[in-house]
Amino acid sequence: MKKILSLVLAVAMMLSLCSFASAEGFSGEIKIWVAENVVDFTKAQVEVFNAAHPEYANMTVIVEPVGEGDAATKMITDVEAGADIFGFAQDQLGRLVAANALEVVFEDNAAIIEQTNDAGAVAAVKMGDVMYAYPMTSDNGYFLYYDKSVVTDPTDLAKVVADCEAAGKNIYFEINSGWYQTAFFFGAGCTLTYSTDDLGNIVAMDCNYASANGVKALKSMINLAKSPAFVNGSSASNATNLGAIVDGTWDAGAIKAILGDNYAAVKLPTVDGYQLGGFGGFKMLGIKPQTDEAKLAACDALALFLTSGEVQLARFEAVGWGPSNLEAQQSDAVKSDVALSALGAQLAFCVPQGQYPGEYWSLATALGDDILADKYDNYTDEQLMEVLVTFQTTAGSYISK
Amino acid sequence: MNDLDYLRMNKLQKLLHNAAKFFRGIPAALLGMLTGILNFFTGIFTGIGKVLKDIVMTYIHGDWKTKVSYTVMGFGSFARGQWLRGLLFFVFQTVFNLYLWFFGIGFVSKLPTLGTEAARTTAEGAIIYGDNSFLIMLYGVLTFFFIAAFLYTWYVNIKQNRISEEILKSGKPLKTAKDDVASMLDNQFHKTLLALPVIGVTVFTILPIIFMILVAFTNYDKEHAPPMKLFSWVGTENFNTLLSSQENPLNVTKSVHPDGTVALSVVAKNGDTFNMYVNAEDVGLIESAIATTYMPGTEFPVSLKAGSGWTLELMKQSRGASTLRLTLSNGTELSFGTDKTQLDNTNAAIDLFKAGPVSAEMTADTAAATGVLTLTGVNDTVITLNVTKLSEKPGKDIDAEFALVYDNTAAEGQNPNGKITFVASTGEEVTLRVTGITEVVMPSMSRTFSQVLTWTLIWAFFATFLNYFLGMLVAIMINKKGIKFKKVWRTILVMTIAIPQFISLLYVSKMFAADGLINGMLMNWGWIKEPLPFWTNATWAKITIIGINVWIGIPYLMLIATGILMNIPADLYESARIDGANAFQTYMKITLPYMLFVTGPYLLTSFTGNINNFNVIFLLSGGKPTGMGLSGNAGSTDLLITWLYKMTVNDNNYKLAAVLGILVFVVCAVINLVVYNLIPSVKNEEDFQ
Amino acid sequence: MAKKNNIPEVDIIVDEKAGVIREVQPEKLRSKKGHEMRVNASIYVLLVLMSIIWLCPFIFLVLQSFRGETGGQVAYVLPKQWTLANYAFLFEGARFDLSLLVKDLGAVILTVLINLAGLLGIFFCLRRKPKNPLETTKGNWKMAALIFGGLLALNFVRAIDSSECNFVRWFINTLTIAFFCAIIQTIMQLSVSYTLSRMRFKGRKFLMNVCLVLGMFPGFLTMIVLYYLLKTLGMTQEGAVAGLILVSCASSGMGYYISKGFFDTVPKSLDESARIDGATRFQVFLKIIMPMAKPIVIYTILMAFMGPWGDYVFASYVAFGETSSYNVAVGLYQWVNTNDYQGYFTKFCAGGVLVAIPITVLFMCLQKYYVEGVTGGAVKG
Repeated sequence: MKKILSLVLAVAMMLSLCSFASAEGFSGEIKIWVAENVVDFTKAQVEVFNAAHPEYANMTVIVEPVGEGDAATKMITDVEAGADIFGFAQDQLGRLVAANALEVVFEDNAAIIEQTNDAGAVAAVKMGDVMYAYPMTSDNGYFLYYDKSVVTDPTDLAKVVADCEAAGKNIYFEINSGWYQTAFFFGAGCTLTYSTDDLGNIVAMDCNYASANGVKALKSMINLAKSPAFVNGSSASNATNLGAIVDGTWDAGAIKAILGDNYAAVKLPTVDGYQLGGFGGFKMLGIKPQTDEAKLAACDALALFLTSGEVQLARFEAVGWGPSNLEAQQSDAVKSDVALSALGAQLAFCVPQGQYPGEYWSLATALGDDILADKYDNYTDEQLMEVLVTFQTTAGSYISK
Repeated sequence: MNDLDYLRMNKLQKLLHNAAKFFRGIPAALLGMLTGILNFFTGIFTGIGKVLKDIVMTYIHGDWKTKVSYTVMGFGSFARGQWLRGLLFFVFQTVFNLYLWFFGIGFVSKLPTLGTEAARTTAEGAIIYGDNSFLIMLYGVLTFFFIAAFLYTWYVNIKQNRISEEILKSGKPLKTAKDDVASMLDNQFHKTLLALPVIGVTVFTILPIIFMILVAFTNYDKEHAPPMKLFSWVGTENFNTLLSSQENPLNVTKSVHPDGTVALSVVAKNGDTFNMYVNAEDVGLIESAIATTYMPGTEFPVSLKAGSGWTLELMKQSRGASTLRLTLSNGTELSFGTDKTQLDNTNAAIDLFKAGPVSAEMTADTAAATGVLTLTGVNDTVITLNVTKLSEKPGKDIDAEFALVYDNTAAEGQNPNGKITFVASTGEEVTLRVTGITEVVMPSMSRTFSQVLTWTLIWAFFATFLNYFLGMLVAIMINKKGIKFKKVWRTILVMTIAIPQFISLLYVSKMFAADGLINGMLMNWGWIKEPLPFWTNATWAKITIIGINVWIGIPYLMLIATGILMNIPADLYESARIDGANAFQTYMKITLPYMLFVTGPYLLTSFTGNINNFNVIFLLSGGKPTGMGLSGNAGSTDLLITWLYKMTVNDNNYKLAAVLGILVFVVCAVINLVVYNLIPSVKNEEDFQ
Repeated sequence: MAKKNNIPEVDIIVDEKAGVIREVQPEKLRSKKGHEMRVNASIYVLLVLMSIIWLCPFIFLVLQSFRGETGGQVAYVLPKQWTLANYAFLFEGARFDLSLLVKDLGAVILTVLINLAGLLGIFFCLRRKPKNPLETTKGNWKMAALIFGGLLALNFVRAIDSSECNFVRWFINTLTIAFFCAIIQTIMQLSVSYTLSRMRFKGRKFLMNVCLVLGMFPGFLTMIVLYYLLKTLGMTQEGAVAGLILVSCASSGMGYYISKGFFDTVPKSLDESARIDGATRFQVFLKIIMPMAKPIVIYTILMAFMGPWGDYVFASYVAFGETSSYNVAVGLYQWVNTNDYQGYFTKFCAGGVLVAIPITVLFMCLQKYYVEGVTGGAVKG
């Protein structure tokens, strides 16, 4: 009797497990946060998803415009009230994982992602060996846009600056951003990376800013800031008298509108004998921890769909976001885009962006602000080295104790 | 010194005399403050004593109805015919008991630990939430409030009985329910009017403030955020971070350069680093010195045995896979992971540590960072876990004290030399001669705090007094006889008050940007070649903010000044004019003293208001520019309160934000108390009426 | 005449007609008059300069709102292309939909109640008997007209469908918050200030001291707690408007300072005589004090109404990403400060102008009361 009972129980358990796998569906509400200019696109794609998956036909999906930086901050403030799926840039991954605001990606989906997206994107969504998000774009890097009628030779920064000064136009670069600053430091040969464990804690740092190369990079930035044509910033829509700007693909549309026929984009120039480098960044979709297993399965399926090859390509055609999917990257449309090719050329000199503690960004802003305040204008090399030593020591203090 | 002598002194002597009087008055004022505080506390204690005595006496002398009321609230009133009061008391007691036993007790009991069950996941990945530290503290505090309210009502209930008995004894009738209701609109009208506001203030102001004060003693920040994680009490550690800069204990590392020179690096707790070179002869001494301090990187333990006093914490669980941390008694931390097939065992292991002392045994493969952990707990339960990604963080530093003595005999231009003496905890001393000492001063929280505090006070001073005097000047100008269109001038200036600040300030801040209107116009006219660094240079930014604040503040001050100036009797001015006083003298002798007297308290509230003036700073500069000398995300133009805002919203660093809030309160309170006691005009409220 | 102790030299003229002795200081008079004219002239110059500086930013703001070129802040003042597109964008998508008034049961009940109350009010106003025999017109036409206008406006606002149009949605949100705050806060503040000013009871000083102490804590300290409190009540995100009203009104009793100053100046004898005549405190409050407190009441209403229009910090915290619950401050701040909203600077200017105009007009009309409140209450006691 006992044996038959246990057999029946085993069969019942297996059946129930199967029923999970057959996706009994989910009919509740899912909230998505994406950047404002892809809200309509995302809504349309959700309709496609619902049509293709009848078990989710009764699901309601709400799409709200919340910028990527804001989304991460809000999720950390209140995970429960935040969106179920949200888009963010990879520099937030560490904070989100440390705050337990991201659910580990479903194993089967993780395998699919590893195969279909480029290596940089896959590394960006992982913390240690664990994958925490679905990669969406590989275009979070920057390059040089310029006005063809103003800048004659975009391969040398000094010449670009001189051309802008002569024409009375401005050259924009965001010196007080830890993201853009690395163009100078990494290009000059310095490194600054942090390694983390699976929990998102920083365990080690590798930094050599306090070196001759670092001083070289710092001096290049000081010289740039001294120019009367220089303005600190990286947003095209806040730019006046645009001559050249170091910016990314998200602003391509705005810059095209400003420059019209004189629109041109190219990889970053060289300065003081070295090529400017930088970060290659990625954007991704994350899922917040759920209490309902069916809802979690639905979120996984929806996120996988929204970051699949076809949707990435469609998104590129709609708003110009460069895909991370290998197939999409090979399509003609992507290859012929001016901004994306400039980015592609620049990425050859870039380092995939790893994890950085939140304090690093503030530290870099502080260094940049001091440069902008003309504090270092008359510093000797030794004094600049001291500044970098302080920077490096402070950066090293962010290791979790 | 009587008045005649005072009048005989010349101006300088008068000034000195008044200044001396002011300073002599400060100790007295401080003393007055202290006695006031002492009186306050003694008052509380005597008050409590009286209340207790009252309770006991009433019980002893009361009749049986009173005695029953001690347990069943409202019984006495009910039995004596005041059914409304009795009913209200009884209902309150029932509601309170229901709340307490079904809801409140749970939270209050968890208050000392602020929760012990972290969130867990199922194998499919769904979350099961455990304790929520935030709600525990919130409802715990709420329950305390309720208990306090209940005790107070119970006491009122007792008093009622005593008063009713006395009234009955003296033969008068008790108030009926109808009388009570009527009196709500008459004698007790103040209670009716104040009921709703007081409740609102208690729930939405007092409760949150007490909560945040308590948060200052926890470690609630983004790494300890409920509902996924717990936070716990840490005592005054946060205050230490913000206020003190500790120098000890220290961390010493030695490195050998390719050319053979030996460099020593000593890092203080706040990050200040002293780098130096050691003389070659002393190299041997270094080893013995450093042996008593901590050197990072020890050997990976292959196996470790038994020991109680260990803790096992669940760091993270996601889709069934767990990350745990085992902390040994010497502080060594072993972090490792288990996969989702061991979910039940992992949860059982965590529970095992809660149940009682546990001994652990781990065998590990260092190369592969895997191992097997065997736990034996109470009742000899044995749990075995296969762990992966094993990593170790060695135990805590051993405190080392030392003194650093500078030898100033170095020649000009040479790096200073000095001696370091290590004093180990065993008492032995080792002295090393070092050269080439360089110091790296780290931006520390405490230095940043003092900088932000200084700027806050400077800003408040300028914002208040500059606006005050300039506003008064403008009011006098417009008010002057012979100026036409007075109303037009006033109306134009008042526009700044009417238009919402967030629009005007946002726009003006853009105007002064490097590529904004002002710089653009100045460059177009050829006056400047480079944009003026209004917002990028710290000093410029501070001056610009004070200047723009003048633009905002003058109209407001002008209105006030105009209103008061109208009240100054005109014949004062007439007589002054006849005596031949010029405009300046009139101002100094008549206008200014009168204005200062009338607006004394207003200046004080304005000063504290400016300490907390968030809008102007945030909308204009956002607290920037930051700099390498400031830590914690603070900027050069940040006030304490904008820094608090950034900490709350951007960093989710609630514990430090709470500490900042308390410190802002202390600063405001001190200023208020000191000034309040020094200005005479504030004290006479009744007389004024 | 000898000069003694700075008494100016005078010529005395005996004016026989008038019979008085007039002092005339011809030399000094002329130079004094010249001096005075110079002083006045310089003051005028200064005032004109100040007016220009004070008004410039607003003029620029208005000009920028008509700018047609793209881009953010520009370095010139006059737009090269004049356009109304920015204003059009603000209203894009807003529709007027009368069916909203009867959308569901709740809406129907509300519509009926509001209109009924309004009509009753008008009816009573028109039927009111004239106060003094000199008034010839029967009924209070001004008040009736005011109520009628308010009724129309209320129905109009409720019939706007702003689900597609952000700016109008935010404007209506802010209007709702301001409206309710104005009413509830005034009631609370006046209650508290009247009580503390007029009545003496045990714990009065204690209450005042507690309020003083509480006021010294910075307001943002408690943001996170209030957010969670509102969350448990369900008043965040979609319910942010209600949440903001609740939080602003609940603690408003602490701001009694200025109104109390006003009440302190009202002589107590009025109260005394009324109570001797047998009135309860409630009747004294309603029938005697309130009518004469009109300036301070209007001042309090004005201040409470103007508050929510500039509240960025707490509103953005409570709305938590729910765009439809933003108020104008949060919405406009997003437009001008984040990189996501490109090219929204001129739209920010247009929005700013539209928000500034009604507030400014309201303030200018009620300026008299504002000045009275500020000078009367702020500086006494």
